[in-house]
Amino acid sequence: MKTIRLFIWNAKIRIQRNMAYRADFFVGIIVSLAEASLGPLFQLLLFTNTKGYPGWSIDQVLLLQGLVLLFLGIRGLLFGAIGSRVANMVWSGGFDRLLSLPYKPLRSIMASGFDLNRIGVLLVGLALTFYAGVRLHLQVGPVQVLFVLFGFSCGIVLYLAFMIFYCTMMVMVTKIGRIEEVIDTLFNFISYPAEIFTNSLRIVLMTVLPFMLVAYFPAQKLLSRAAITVIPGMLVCLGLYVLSHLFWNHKLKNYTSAGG
Amino acid sequence: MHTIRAFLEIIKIEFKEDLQYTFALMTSVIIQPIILLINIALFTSVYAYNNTTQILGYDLGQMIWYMTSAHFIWVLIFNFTDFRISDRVLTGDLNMDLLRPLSLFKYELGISIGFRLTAFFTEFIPGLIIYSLIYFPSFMSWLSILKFCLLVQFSFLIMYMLNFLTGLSAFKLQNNASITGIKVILMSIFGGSAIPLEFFPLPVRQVLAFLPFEYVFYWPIQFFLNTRTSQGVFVFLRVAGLQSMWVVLLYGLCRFFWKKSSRDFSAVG
Amino acid sequence: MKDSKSRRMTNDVNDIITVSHLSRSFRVTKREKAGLRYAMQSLIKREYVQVDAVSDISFTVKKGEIRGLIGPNGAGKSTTIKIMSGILYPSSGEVSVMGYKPWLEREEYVRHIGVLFGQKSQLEWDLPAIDTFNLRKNLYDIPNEVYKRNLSYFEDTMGLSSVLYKPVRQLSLGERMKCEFVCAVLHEPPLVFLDEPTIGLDVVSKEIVRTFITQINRDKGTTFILTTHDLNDIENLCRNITVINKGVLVFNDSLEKLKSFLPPRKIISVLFEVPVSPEKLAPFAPVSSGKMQASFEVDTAESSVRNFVSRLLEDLPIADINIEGAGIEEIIRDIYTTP
Repeated sequence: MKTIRLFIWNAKIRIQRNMAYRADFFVGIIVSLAEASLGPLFQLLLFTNTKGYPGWSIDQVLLLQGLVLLFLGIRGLLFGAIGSRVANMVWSGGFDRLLSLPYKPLRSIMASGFDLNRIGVLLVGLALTFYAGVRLHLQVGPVQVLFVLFGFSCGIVLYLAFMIFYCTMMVMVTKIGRIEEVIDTLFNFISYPAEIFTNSLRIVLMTVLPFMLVAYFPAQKLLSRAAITVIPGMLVCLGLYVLSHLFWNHKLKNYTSAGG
Repeated sequence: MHTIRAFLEIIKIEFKEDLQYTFALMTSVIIQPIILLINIALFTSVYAYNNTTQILGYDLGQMIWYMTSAHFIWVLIFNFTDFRISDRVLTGDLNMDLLRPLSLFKYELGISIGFRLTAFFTEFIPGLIIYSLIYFPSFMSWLSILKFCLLVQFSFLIMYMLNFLTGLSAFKLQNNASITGIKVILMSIFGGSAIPLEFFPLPVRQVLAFLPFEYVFYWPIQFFLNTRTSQGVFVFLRVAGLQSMWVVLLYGLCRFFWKKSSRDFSAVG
Repeated sequence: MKDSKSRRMTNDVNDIITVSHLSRSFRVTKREKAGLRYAMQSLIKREYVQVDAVSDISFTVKKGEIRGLIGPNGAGKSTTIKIMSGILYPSSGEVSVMGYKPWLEREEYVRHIGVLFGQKSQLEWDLPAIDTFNLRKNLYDIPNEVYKRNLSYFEDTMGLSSVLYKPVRQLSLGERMKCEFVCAVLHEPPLVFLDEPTIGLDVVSKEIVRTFITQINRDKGTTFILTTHDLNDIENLCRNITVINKGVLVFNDSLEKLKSFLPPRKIISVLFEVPVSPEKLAPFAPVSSGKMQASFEVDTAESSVRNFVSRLLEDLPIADINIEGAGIEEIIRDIYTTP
């Protein structure tokens, strides 16, 4: 598919550019890793200084955090650069240039999200998940892997929906603030087990803002524990995704350029 | 002196510019409540599960507000100086700064102050009001807030100079986005902005006391939260004194590296 | 102005700039190939090559001059200007401007110069130009009366009244360049560097800027160093020009002298009332011709234009006639393309 080829082409350029700034490349990986690890680190320290969460042992929490990092790594690797690319583009009025390319602008943007720096996060997430899995003597078969992939896919679809809304707003209102930060902050919810939330909040997080699907659900499945209903959440993810596309297409028509 | 007038003029101009984008600047009023919500859920649960009113010296309200007070400090001291400098080093626009009859240090300082002045009115004050409505900060006192306001100014200067030095690294490193990233991480972890320092083991804390980071975040937070650690005049004077020391030290480093860097500067075409 | 007794390099009091054996070289990464594999190789090992941007250049500029500094792209003009304005160090050689060593005394030195770098802006993008001017008033310590006087002067002569209070990002290029120009001269510096001041401007705006430069030069004795690719700027403004090519000084004299290198020629172009056959044109040896027009070259050293034109008018049905001197484009092009 055209978009996939565009994605690979963008990725190659990114890698080349990263290599051109040597020191930056290596350090960039470490920095992304440190950033992503703040959450799990906090959880770990909280656990070691208190009794922890009801119903969760420290290894189980590590499993959850491992899945979170793995998800963030995959998400970041594939689409992590979208926010800054769009921000740069709109700021410098380069969006016009995008419109003159032989690709659908939205596809172009989504295909330009490759961020090599996040690979550190992905690898550590994988390691942590593996480590926790070993300590918990988990049986992992294709079914479990499928559940993990399902959860991650929902998370990515949800993320893309948010990002498309964000891109649309960026194009409309040039100097918009840290919406990307809002999205990332919302995604903080994925790091916590549903047990800590009140009933009403738990329902919200499984349906309207289905963050519980991303890491909590796969973790529960891996731990062979009772899981949550996922259909409503999944539908919401897909629905938001479609909605975001409609929003984008509508606003693209009203577009005006920024700056001289 | 003309430098002071020019300096004030720069602050005024930056303030004017930023005021135009108040909507953009107010997104933290959306972000923080989300974080606050997470923290309320998380810590209420943890405190209940642990059947206690105090964890590591913080009561529930203080623990919930810890991140938010760290956020306020970020709001009051944050600046783009490192990006501004490194960006202009790479594009060659720094040449225009060199042609200005005011040192880059003073110029960027004026810009940073003007920049945060806007934030004081658009993020700090509204934020304080809104978040208090979500979870009332009953631990606060007028005195502790006053001390906080005084100390946070030193935090501002320290942050500014660390950013200035980071920006200068662009002379050697070309693309220094990672240094910036490292700095933020160090601030977050070792400064106590992401995690209260009490969570770390003692040997780590002893080392951290020699770094500037905890004087940017952790200590002002203590005063904001009016914790037990922050009681008494002596503590206040000690923290203020150590902050001043860092200000002086960093200023010296800034002067030194600026002289060196501007000498090595080869203007990019 | 600095007490330059001890620091002067030349004995001539009227020299505002003295450049002596100036050289500047850069170390650049060698990049021959592109592609992913090469990028990964460069991760491990880097090769560098030395580029001599400027080699052994010497010239002086007198006070009150409008000096043209020209050369093809990459010739070393920008490097020379950067060294003279203090933002770049030379590799070797001496430069003295108003008694200062620009790069050594930069913070003090830049108070006394104005600059307009065509591609870089000195204006605050989101605010009206008047705010930037106000800022500069404070930066350069311009007295109130001088500031007000100059401001109204510029408003009138450049037609800026409507422009001053609009945010800079809403201005057209022409309007913005005028404001940039004001930035350069607002604090009445004795020396101004103009790098491509008329680039992208329409004919009317170019004329306004040129008139402005001439006026300021005349009224205030301001010295201008002008870098440009527009030869009309040179012809209209500069008495002396300095030509740099491949880092080396190739010409440093008056415009008249440059023109003297030109063969003494006039180009005569005519339009006919009725079609004219080639045989009828042959005696005049046209350079180019068609049925209804032709052009001729007259070597003025050998024959008189007047005689030639008289003969043309007698023998041919001339509807319209145009007589031009050879422009300096040709000689400049020759200089630029000489290896």
